[in-house]
Formats: sequence, C-alpha cells, structure tokens
Amino acid sequence: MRISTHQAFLSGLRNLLDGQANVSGLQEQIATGKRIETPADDPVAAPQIIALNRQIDLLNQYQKNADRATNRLELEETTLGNIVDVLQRVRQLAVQGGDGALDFGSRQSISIELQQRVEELMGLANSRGTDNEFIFSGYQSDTQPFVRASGGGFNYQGDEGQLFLAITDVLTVETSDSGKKLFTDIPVPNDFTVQAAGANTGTATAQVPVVTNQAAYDAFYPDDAQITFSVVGSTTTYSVTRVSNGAAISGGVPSQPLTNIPYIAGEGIAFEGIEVNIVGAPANGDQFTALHSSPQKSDMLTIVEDLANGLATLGDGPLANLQRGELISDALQSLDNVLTSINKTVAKIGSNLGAIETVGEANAEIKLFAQKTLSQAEDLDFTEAISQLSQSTFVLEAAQQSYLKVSNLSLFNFLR
Amino acid sequence: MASLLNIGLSGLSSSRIGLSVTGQNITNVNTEGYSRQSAEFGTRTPEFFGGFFLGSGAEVDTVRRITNQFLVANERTDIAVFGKAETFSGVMDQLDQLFSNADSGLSGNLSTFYSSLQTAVDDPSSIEARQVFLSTAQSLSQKFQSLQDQLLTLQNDIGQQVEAVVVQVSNLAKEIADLNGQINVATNSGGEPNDLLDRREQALRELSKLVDARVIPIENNSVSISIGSGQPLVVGTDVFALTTQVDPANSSVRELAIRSASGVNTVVGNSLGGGLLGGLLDAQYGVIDNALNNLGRVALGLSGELNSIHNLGMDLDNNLGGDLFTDINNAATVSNRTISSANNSLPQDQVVSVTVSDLSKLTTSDYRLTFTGANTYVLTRTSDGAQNAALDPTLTGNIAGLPATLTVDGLTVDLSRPSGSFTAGDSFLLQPTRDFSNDIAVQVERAEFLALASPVRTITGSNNTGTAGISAGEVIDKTTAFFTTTARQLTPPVVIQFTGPTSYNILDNTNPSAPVALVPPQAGLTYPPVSPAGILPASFGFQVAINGTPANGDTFSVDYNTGGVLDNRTGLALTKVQTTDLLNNGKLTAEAAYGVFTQEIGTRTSTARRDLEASKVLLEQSQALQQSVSGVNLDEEAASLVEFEQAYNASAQVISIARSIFDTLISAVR
Repeated sequence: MRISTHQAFLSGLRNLLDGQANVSGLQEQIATGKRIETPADDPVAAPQIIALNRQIDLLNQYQKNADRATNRLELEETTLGNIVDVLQRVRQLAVQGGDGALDFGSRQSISIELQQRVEELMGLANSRGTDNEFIFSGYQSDTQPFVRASGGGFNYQGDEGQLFLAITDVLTVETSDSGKKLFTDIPVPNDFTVQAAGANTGTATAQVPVVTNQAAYDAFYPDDAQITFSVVGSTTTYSVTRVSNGAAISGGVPSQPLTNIPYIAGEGIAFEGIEVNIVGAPANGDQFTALHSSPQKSDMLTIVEDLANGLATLGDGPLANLQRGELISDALQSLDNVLTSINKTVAKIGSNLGAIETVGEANAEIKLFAQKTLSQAEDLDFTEAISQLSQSTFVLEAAQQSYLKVSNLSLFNFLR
Repeated sequence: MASLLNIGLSGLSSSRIGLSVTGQNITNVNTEGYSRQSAEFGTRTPEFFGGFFLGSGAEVDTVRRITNQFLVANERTDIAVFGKAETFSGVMDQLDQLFSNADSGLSGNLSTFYSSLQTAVDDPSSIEARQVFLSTAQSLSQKFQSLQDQLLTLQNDIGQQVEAVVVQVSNLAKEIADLNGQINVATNSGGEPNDLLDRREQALRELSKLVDARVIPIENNSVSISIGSGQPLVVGTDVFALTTQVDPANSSVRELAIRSASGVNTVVGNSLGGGLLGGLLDAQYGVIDNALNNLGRVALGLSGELNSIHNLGMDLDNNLGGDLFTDINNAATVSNRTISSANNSLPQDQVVSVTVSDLSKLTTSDYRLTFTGANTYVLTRTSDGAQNAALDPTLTGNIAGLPATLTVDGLTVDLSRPSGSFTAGDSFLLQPTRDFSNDIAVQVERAEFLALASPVRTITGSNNTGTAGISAGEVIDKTTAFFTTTARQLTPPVVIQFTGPTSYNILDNTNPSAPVALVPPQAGLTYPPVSPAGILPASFGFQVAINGTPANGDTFSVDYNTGGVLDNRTGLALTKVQTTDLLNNGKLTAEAAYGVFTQEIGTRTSTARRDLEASKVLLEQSQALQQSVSGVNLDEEAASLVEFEQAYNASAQVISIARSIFDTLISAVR
C-alpha cells in the first residue's frame, strides 16, 4: 500500500501516544492498588463491589451495636450481681433474726443493718449507666425508678420499656430490663384476715392471725374457713367449716374434726396451717371468717424494709414469737422470689451475651469473606501489573527508537 | 517541418510544469485535506509529413487531482461515527466519575447516614448522637442536590454546546454553498478546480464531525447536503439555517429545526445518526434525563419511607414526630411534576396533579398524557411506549367526566379544570421523579425533634395473675382523636380489663383507680381476637398484642410514652429502611436501586468507550485508505523531482543538438 508521508508521521505519533497512555494507566493502577476505579472499568464486577462495600459497612455497624449492647448488658449483669450479694446478706440476717435465742436488742441491731441494706439496694436499683441514664426505669431513663412513697413503702416511677439493638439484619437483642419486671411485682406468700360477722353480739374479737405453716395454708388457699360459736348454757364451743362446701375442717393436735370444740379464750384455733386467736366472750351464733387475701405482690425494697420494721417492733411473748416466725418465713420466701426473678434475668442476660458473641463471630467471618471477595474483585494483581508495565515500557521505548529511525529515512537526504 | 527546436521546447515546458506540480505537492505535504496532484502528459498533435505523421513534442493535458470518491465518502461516515462516539463517551465518563466514586457519588453519604442513625438509635437519649445523625442527614440531602445540580449543569453545558455546534453547522453550510458556487463557475469555464474541490471536501469533513450529513453530488461538481431524516441543509448555492426552538410540548427543552428562506421552521427531531451533535443529543435525552429520574426515585424512596415511619414516632420533647425529609407529595413538589404543552386549549387552566401513592411501583420513566377528546385520553410511558391498558388495566382511555383520577405505576393523577372539560390535543408531560433530588431537605430542625421513640407504652397490671404478656405497642395512625385531642397525651389512656380468660373490655383509664366505659363502649370483646383483627379496634390508631392466657381481672393499660427517652422503637424501624426492599416492586433497597443505576452508567460508559475505540480504529483505517490514494509521499515526490529534472535536462540537450545541426548546416554553406 502507498503510504502518505503525513499519514506515516501521524501513525507513528499515535503509536507513541497509545504506548504512553498504556504505561500511565498501568502506573496509576499500581499506585492505587486498585484494578477498578469506576464501574465502567469492569461493569460486571462493579455491582458486586458496591454490594460488598455496603455489606462490610453494615457488618462494621452491627459490630459497633453489638459492642454497645455488650457494654449495657455487662453493666446490668454487674449491678444485678451486686444486688444478689446484698440480698444474700439480707437472707442471712433474716435467718439470724429468726433465732429464738436472740434477745430484743440483738434483733434491733439486725434491723438497723437491714435498714442500711434497704438504702444500699435502693441505690443499686437506681443505678445509672455510662450516659448518666437510670438503667432500670424502662424507657423513662431520665426518671429515677425507685422513690419512697409518702405513706411508706416505695414507688416505681419507670415503665416496662426495653431498649433493643440490632445486631444483624433480622436479629435485635434486648439490652435493658425494667425495674418493674425485676424488683417489683414480686409475689409474696398467701395470707388471710379474720373478719367478725356483722351480726355478732358477743364481745369476742380476733387477735392478729398468723400463718404457721405456709405450705399447708397454700394447699387450702384460696378457700375460706368459718368459725361458728355455739353457747349452750355455760358451755361455749366452736366449729370450723369450709366456706366453699360447708364441710368440717380438721385441726389441732392430734388432728380431729373441729366440730363443737370447747372454746378457751386466748387459745389459738389452729387448722390448715393457720392459727386464729379469739379473745372475749362470743355469743351463740357469732361467726368469724378466715378470709383469704387476694394474691399480693410487693417489691424488693418493701420486702426488706418490712422485715427490718418487723424485727425492730415485734417484742417477746408467744403471739409475737408466732408473728415473728411468720414474718421471717414470709420474708425468706419473698426474698427467694426476688432472687428467682433476678436470676431469671441474669440467665437471660448471659444467653443474650452468648448470642451477641456468636453472632459477632459469625459477622466477623462473613466480613472476612466479604473483604476477601472484594479484594479479589477490585484489587490489582501486582505481579501481573508490574510485568505488564515493564513490557509496556519496553514496547514504548522500542516505538520511540523505531520512530526516530524511520522518520529520518527520506530520499531528500540523498539529493545533494 | 516541425522544428526539433520546438519539440525540445515543448519538452522543457512540460517538464517544468511537472516540476511545478511536484513542488506544489511537496509544499502541501502537511496541508489538511490536500489531495496530491499529478500532471498528465500527452503528445502534441502530429504534423502530416507527406505520407506519414511526424510527432511535434509533448504537452501537459491536465493537472489531475488524485482522489477516490468512495473512500472520501467512507471517511466522512467514519468521521461522523467517531465524532458521536467521542462526544458521548466524554459525557459518560463524566457521569461515571460523578456517580461511582465513594466521595463524589451517593454511596458514601448513604453509608454514613445509616451508620450515624444506628449510633443515635443505640443511644436514643444522647443529643450528640442525634446531632451527628442530623448533620449526616443534611449532607445526604445536600449530596442529592449537588448531584442534581451537577447533572443540570452538565445538561446546561450540553445545551450550550448544542447551540454552539448549531452555529458552526450553519457557518459550514454557508461555506460549502459558497464553494459550490465558485466550483460551478470554474467547472463551467472548463477546468477542474482542484484546490476548491479540496477545500469543499475539507469543509464536508468538518461538517461530518459535527453532524451526520448525507452528501448528494449534483451537476457541475456541486453537492447537496441533508441531515436528520432528510431535511435539506444545502442545495447547490442555497443554504437553510439550522437553529433551535422551544419544544411546545415541553418548554424546558429546545429542539432542532431547519429554517427555510421564508422563515418557516421544520423540526429535525432529536435522533441524528452521528456527529458531535448526535452524541450530545443522545447524552441529553438518553442519559442525563434517565440519571435525573433515577436519582429522584432514590430520593423519593428514602424520603417517603423514612417519613412514614418518623411521623409515627415521638421526639425527646414528647411530641409526635413530623417529616424527617421533605414530604414527597407537598404542593411545590406536586406542581413541579407536570409540564403542560404551550399549545393546550385556552384558557390554560387544566389541572393535572401527580402524587406518589406507592413507592414500590415507581418507575424511572416520564409519562405523556394526551387528550383525544373531552373524555378520552392516551397515557403513554415514554420509556417503553406502553399505553393505557397495557400500563394498568384501570386505564380504559375514557373518563366519566371531571374531576377524574387515573392510577398508574404507583402514581395518582388527578384531573380537573375549572372552566369545563379537557379538549382534544391537550397534552401534558408528567415527570414524577425528575426533580425530587432537588426538593429533598431535612425537615427536623433540632436534635430533640428527632422521633426515635414510639408515642405509646403499655403497662402490665401489678396484680395480674394470668400468664398473659403485652407487647410494647405501636402507632399506626397518629391522626385519630386519641392523639389529636391534646398534644403530648393519649386522650383518653385506655386499659384492657379481662373479665375472664376469653373476654375483655376496653375502658377509659383517665382515672386508673376507677376506669370508666369508653364512648362508644368497647365491652364484651373476645380474646384472642379473630385474626386479622387486633386487640384494639383499628379506629384507635394504635395497636398492642397480647400473648398467653389472661386471668379474670387482669389488666393491661396503654398510655402516652411521656418521658420515654430511652425508647428506640421508631429508630429501629428507621434503621430497617436500609435493608427494606422498597423500590422496584419490592425488589430493591434504595441503596441497591442507586447501585443498579451506577452499574447501568458503568456499563453504558464501558460500551461507549469500546464504541469509541472501535470507531477510532475504523476512522484511522479509512483515513489511511483515503490518504494512501490522495496523500503526498515525499519519497515519491523526490523521485518525481529527479525524473522531471532529468527530462528537462534531456529536452535542453535536444535544443542543443538542434542548434549544433543548424551550425553544421551554416558552416557547410559558408
């Protein structure tokens, strides 16, 4: 083919420029370490790169959330651990307080320590987190959860809200528990009251009723018992019947059906784990009912404070001893209920922490895999790139030299 | 007898012409568009010399321009293709850079937006975390705006380039027409005006670079030129100006037109086969519009979804949440979506308003609504040309009268006209997504106003004996009387009171110690409610779930979440938007939709680059072919120089011999 001089010059120049562009492109790739700068460089790999980058960002965020959740849960776990320690001490003191050998003064000093423990428990239940938020007041973390009520006892001012954090696309984990669930709504042992019938004409009144055997009473609960007096001449007797079906109730030692039992004022009438003391002179047909109280719930602080108050006020004497027995027994059972409630939550926290760790490990593995895939998709193969670069440089140099040589070839050089 | 002297002289003169032509070739070696010339030698008319003819020397018949019209036409086509590919790939490269890069594109902003949201949600009571989230939300909306701005700037640049190219095309057309005239005159006087032809060819090359022009030779070496679908640009010496005019159907767009001598404009249409102009128009209509719509749809998806969640939340000041970003259907946005044709019937009081009703069904297309009569219309999706029933079975092409409502692709189109009915020919361009990336802005003014909590909370009765538990509760509609009667309160708070394991009442819990009946009363309801009914009537606007077995007397109350600063339920729902497939019929997240769009740009850019490479190779080949015929080769010319110099010297020798013969003759006579 005929070659025009201008064309030969242009095509030589074009080869040089192409060679330079090639070298500079490779140099850029080596400098950045990236094979792909924009999606146009590899439209097939581009969506994968975008998706992988997004996934890695998201996994990093989930890891942050998981760390945050772990911090919250560990703080709660530690706080609950401290509360459990205090409650164990309270339990010891309660057992100690039930020791019949103790005198009133010793019981009062136990009561003083118990009062201090109440303050300590209240402080722990009103714990604050890293951002100065109350950790046990549900959603209302600006509100102190436990305050003393004006008429005695304690009020819970928070709610039942729980903070959830996302640790994967689909999994959220609870990172807080409300004080309501943990420390209030604690069932206390079943109890009863004694009511005199309105139609009573005698002078008999009921003393403070006592549960002497909680298990036996729990079996009877929620039935009520009716004590009916009968006065024939100078003989006063009483009978105890079930309110539900009118059947006679057995009691006393040894156990016998409590029908027409001679009445001795001030002597306890014991049946179904409870003891009723009636004093005074009942008239014929007077009735007293051992009425079951509806299921009661209390809170941790009130339970401990009631124990402290009871130990501080109950003196000596048979009735007071009975009452103290019930006080201690009720307190121990309630404390066990509090501990059960807390331990349930501690176990749940443990399993949540375990789940966070497992998910965290899985997330880390996915992330590693995503990073590896991303690297394969967008990172440069340096060995290949550098060998390409040296080849391209060689080609460029060759093109420059041959261009110089060829452009010097002209017939005019010989026309002299 | 023809003198030997004369023969020698003819040799001298034709060799000198040969040398001149060679000189001309050599000096024009670098002249763009120059075709090499060659002197064609011939013998002079011989003389009859009594029985035979005797030659009378040489002469130059003509100086021929060496060219091949087929190769020239081929080169012009390749120039046009290359011009288009070069322009188009230039625009695509800019777009590719704009959208793909983590710094310049949206991906980086989206990523920080969501991660700062997560941080705020992790710690909903922290003002600092909320502040950080708000500023990333602001930069996200600003990024949308700046991308939109850059797209519009690019479109504007393209528009200005189109205007400039149109002027150049007209100038070249005029030059070609002038050359046609000169060539016509020269040709009539009997010669080939080689250099004029070269100049016109060069002008045609430059024209081809700008626009795909069809060149038709007519008599006397003149040419006619047409562009587009056959609109004449040059006919002999007559020129028709290429110009732009406002598109009556869409006043924001200028279209190409050819203006005749009488001043009548003929629309060329926007698909020119090639040339710079073709590339510019392809980029403008095929790419930038599409990019604006895609970006707008992502903005709509994010705004719409986040707003619908944020609106049902509660902020740190116990107020109900408002919009997080601009309402996708606010008045200004809706009015931007419709462009009425300038030719619509008077008075132009037709109202066509487009509201987005279902994000998942949104497309990135525009729509054209044209009336063919008072109650008949054609609605066309511009991306694929689908019309009426093919778009949506509810589009019958007929309306019963005004006002009317059309539903298509997640859009609700409301039609009305105060002065009566629509008229045949009324036409509207609907652009549902195009402008929203410009409209999007953060609506939450202070960090406290970020609604991460939920406005309701539930409380389990302290003395409940059953095993039932209640969910935290959620708000579905904040416009019910429960929320609107008194700000920051549930009016009234309610309590669910079980009257047995399978029945419950809902009571007004304003006084918790003595709940009273609601108006109207909600009593004797059955538990568990028959699915899909909830525990609470749908008319309440909030809902709870109860699981387990309740006992008689158990209560669950629902109250306003006053002071619920550690509540992040709404925030968690907001973070879920990142992984919610809310676009493309529930197949793509907003982020993925953006990814698909950048990938599409990447693919188109890569295709454009390959097209550019291919057309460049083709152009180089056709230029080399054309040059191999018409280009000057200096070696060849050097050889010609030697050849003609030798011929000249030889002819001079002939003269010298003629003189010496004459001298011999004279001396014989002496």
